[in-house]
Amino acid sequence: MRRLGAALVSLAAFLVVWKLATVIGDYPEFILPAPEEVLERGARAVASGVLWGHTGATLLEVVLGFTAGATAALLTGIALGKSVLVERVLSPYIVAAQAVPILALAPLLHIWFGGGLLARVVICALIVFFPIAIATMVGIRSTDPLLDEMLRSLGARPAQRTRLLEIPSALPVIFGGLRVGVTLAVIGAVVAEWAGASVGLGVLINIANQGLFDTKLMFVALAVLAGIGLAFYGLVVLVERRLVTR
Amino acid sequence: MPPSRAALAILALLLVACQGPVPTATPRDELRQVTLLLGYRPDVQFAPFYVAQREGHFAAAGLEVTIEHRQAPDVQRLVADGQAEFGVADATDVMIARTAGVTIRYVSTLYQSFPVALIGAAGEVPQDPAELAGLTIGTPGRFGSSWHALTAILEAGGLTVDDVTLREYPQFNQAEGFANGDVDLITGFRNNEPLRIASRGTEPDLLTLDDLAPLPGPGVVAGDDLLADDPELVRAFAAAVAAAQAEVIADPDIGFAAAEAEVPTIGEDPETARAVLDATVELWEGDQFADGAVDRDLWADAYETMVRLGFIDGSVELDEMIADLSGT
Amino acid sequence: MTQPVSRTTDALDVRLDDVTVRFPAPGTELTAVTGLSLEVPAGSFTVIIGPNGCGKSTVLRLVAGLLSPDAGEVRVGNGRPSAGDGRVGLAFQQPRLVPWRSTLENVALPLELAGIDVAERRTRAADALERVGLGAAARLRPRELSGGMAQRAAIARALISDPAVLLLDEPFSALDALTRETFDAELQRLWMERRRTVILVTHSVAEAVSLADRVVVMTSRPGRVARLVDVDLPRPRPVDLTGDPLAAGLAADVRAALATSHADELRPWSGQEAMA
Repeated sequence: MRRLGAALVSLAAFLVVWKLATVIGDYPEFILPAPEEVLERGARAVASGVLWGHTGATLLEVVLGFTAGATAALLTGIALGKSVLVERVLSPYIVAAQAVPILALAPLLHIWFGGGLLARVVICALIVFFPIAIATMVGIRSTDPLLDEMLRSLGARPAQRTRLLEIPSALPVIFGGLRVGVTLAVIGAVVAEWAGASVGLGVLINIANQGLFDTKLMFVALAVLAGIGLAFYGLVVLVERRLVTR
Repeated sequence: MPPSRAALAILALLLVACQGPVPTATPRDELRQVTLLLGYRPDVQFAPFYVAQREGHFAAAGLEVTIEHRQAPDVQRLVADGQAEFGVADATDVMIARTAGVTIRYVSTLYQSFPVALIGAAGEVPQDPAELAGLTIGTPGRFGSSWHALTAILEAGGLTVDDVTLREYPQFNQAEGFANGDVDLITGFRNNEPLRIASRGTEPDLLTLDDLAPLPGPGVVAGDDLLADDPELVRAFAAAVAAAQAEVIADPDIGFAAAEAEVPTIGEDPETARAVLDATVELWEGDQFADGAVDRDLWADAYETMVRLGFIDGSVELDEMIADLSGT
Repeated sequence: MTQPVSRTTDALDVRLDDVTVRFPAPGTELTAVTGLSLEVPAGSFTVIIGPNGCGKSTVLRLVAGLLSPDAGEVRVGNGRPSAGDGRVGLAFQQPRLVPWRSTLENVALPLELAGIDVAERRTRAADALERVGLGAAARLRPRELSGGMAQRAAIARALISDPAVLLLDEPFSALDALTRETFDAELQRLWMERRRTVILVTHSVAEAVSLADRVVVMTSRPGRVARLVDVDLPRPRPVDLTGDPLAAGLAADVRAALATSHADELRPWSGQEAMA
C-alpha cells in the first residue's frame, strides 16, 4: 500500500511540474498542451470509442511480440551461455543486428513478412530480443561453480544441472532483461505500426499529429502507451517476486 | 578657368554620370533575417526558393532567408508559434490545422494544380471513380493531402473508403508496395511516383481530381502574429517567391542549376531530378501561372468539400484560413 | 514400498592403486598426485592430512567419481566410483546449499535427482535433518542458517542415500573452534552408530588424532602417501585429548611426518602454481 501511495505522490508531482511548464512557458496548446487539456481530450476519445480499437491492436502486438521475442531470446541466451563456440559464432551477427536501427529496417521487414500482424510481431520481437538474450547469457554464465560441482557429485546430468541450477540461479539477471524487454515491446509495437498498420496507438499518433494537428490527442496516445508499459512492467515484477526467491 | 582644371571638372562630371543606376539592393547588414521551413529534406521541387536566394530576389525584397527542413506538421506549428516566419504547407492541411487552433494562414499559392493523384499502370487506372470499388489502394495513411484527395475522389464516385481495400505505408514507400504487386493503385505526387514507376519499366497512368473535386495545391503559410505586425514583410516575401518561380517556369535550367547547388542527391541521378522539375513546373503553372494569388472561389468550394468529407467541422471560417495580401 | 537409492548394509573398502592425476594450467600442466597408492578398509575412519596443494582434495574427488585418474586405478568396493550412484556421499568445506530452496529441499536433492517421488523424499529428508539435530530448520532458507547449521544440513544431504562411503573435505574448518569440537564429537557418534567407511581431509593434527583409526600423511605436490600413522586409542574418544600421553605421542608422529613432507614447501614459490 505504501508503494501505491508513493507512486501516486510522484505522479501528482509530475503533473504539477508539467502544468507549471505550460504556464511559465506560455506554450500554445498545439505545442505543449496542459495536463488537464490532455485529460479532457482523453475522456472524449474514450467516450467516442476511438481509443479502444487502437489500444487493443497495440496491446495484441505487445503481447505477441514480447512472447515471441522473449522465448527466442531465452533459448538463444541459454545456448550462448553454455557454449563458448555458439557465442563466438552467433554474437557478431546478434550485435550487428542490434546496432542497425530497427526503425530503418522496419519497412523492409514489413514487406518481407507480408505486411500484416505477423510482420509487426516480428519487428516487435526483434526489438525485444537483444537485452533478454544477453541477460540470459550472462545469468547462465554466472552459475556458481561450487554449486555446479556439488550437483555433479550427486550425479546430476547436464539437463538436470541446467534445470535445477543454471536457470534458477540466472533468474534474477534474466528478469532484469525481461523488465527492459517488456518496455521495449511497447516501443517495438509502435515502430512496427509506423512501418505499416491501419490501427494502433502508433497509427493514432500519426493521425493525431500529421492528420488532425491535434497535439492533445497525440499526448493521449502517448499517455496510454506509457500506461501499457507501466502495466506490463508491473506484471513482470509481480511474476519475478513469485519465481525468484532467495 | 585654366584648361587643366576644366578638363578635371569635366572628367569628374563624366565619372559621376557614368555610374548608371545605383543598385537598390540593401547592404547585407540591413537585410531582415527570416526563416523559411520546408518539408522533410532538400529537393529539386524547392527550386523557386533556391533561385530566390541565389538570384537576389530575396535580397531585393530586403530579406535574408534561412531555409530549414522539418517534418510536415511541425512546419505549421512552428510558424504559428512564431519560431519561424514562413513555411510551405498543403492547403487541406492548413484548413484542418487552422480549425484545430493552429494560428496560421495560407498567403500565396505555389501549385496551381493539386499535386496528388491516384497512380497505377497504364490501362489499369479507371477514369470513372465509381470503378474504384473493390480495388486495393496503397497510401501513407489516414492523414495528409493524399488521404484527403483519395477520400474526395471516392466521394465523387459515390464510394467511401470502406468500398476499397486500403494498405497503409506510413513511411511513404507505397511505390514499393506497388512494385511488389501488393496493391492495384497508389496515391502519389504527379511529379514523383509516375516517374519512379516508369523508371521501373511500367508505363504509368493517373486519375486526378482536377475535374472531380478541385482542391487547392500547396502554398506559403505565415503566422497570424506576423501578418498582424508586419503585413508588408509577408507581401514582400510572397512577391519575391512568385518572381523567382516565374523565372524557373520560363527557364527551368535556372531552377535546375540553383537546385543542383543545394540538393546533394541530384548528382546521383540528374536525369530523374530534371524530369521531376519539369513535371513540377507543369503543376505550378496549371492552366496559367497566377503570380501566387490565392483563388478564393476555389478555396470556398474546397472548404465545403472538406466539411462534407468530415475533415473540418466548419467552426473556423474560410477567411481565417487565407490571407488577402492585396488589401491591408 | 520404494527402495532408497542404495541400501548398503555393508560399508565398502576404497582402494587407490598407483594413481596419477594431471591438470592443465596456463602454459603448462600440473601433476596433482603421482603414483599414489592407498587402501582404506571398509568401515574404518581414515583422516588424510598434508600441506596445501598436496592433492588431498584430489583424492576425495577421485573416490567421489568427479575425476578420473590419468594413470592407475580407483576402486570403491568392487567397482569404479560413479558420481551419484549412492555408494559415496561427499560434503565440502562450504555447505554448498542451493539458496533458493528450503533446507529440507536441499537435503532431499539427491533423492530428487534419482527420481524418487515428492512425498517419500520429503519424509526421508525430514528424518535426516532430525538425525543431525536440525528438525526445526526444515522450512528455513540457507541464508537463515548459521554456518554450523548449514554444514550440518550439508552432511545430512551427504548421508541421505545411506552411502557406504562418506567423504568429508575439511568439513568444519570454516567454523569456530568450539563448534568444531562439537561437530567432531557428533561425527564420531554418527559413525559409531552406523559404521560406514569415512575419509576425512583436514589440516588439524588434533582433529586427525581424535577422529581417525589411521592418519594418512601426504607429501606436497606431486602428492603421494608419505606415512601412515595408526591410531589405536579406545573409542568413544573425547574430542579434547590434551593431557593424554598416547595421543600426544601420536600427534608428534604425525607432525614429524608432516615436517618432512613440508620441507619441499620451503622452496621458492614460483607464483605459477595453482592450488590443487
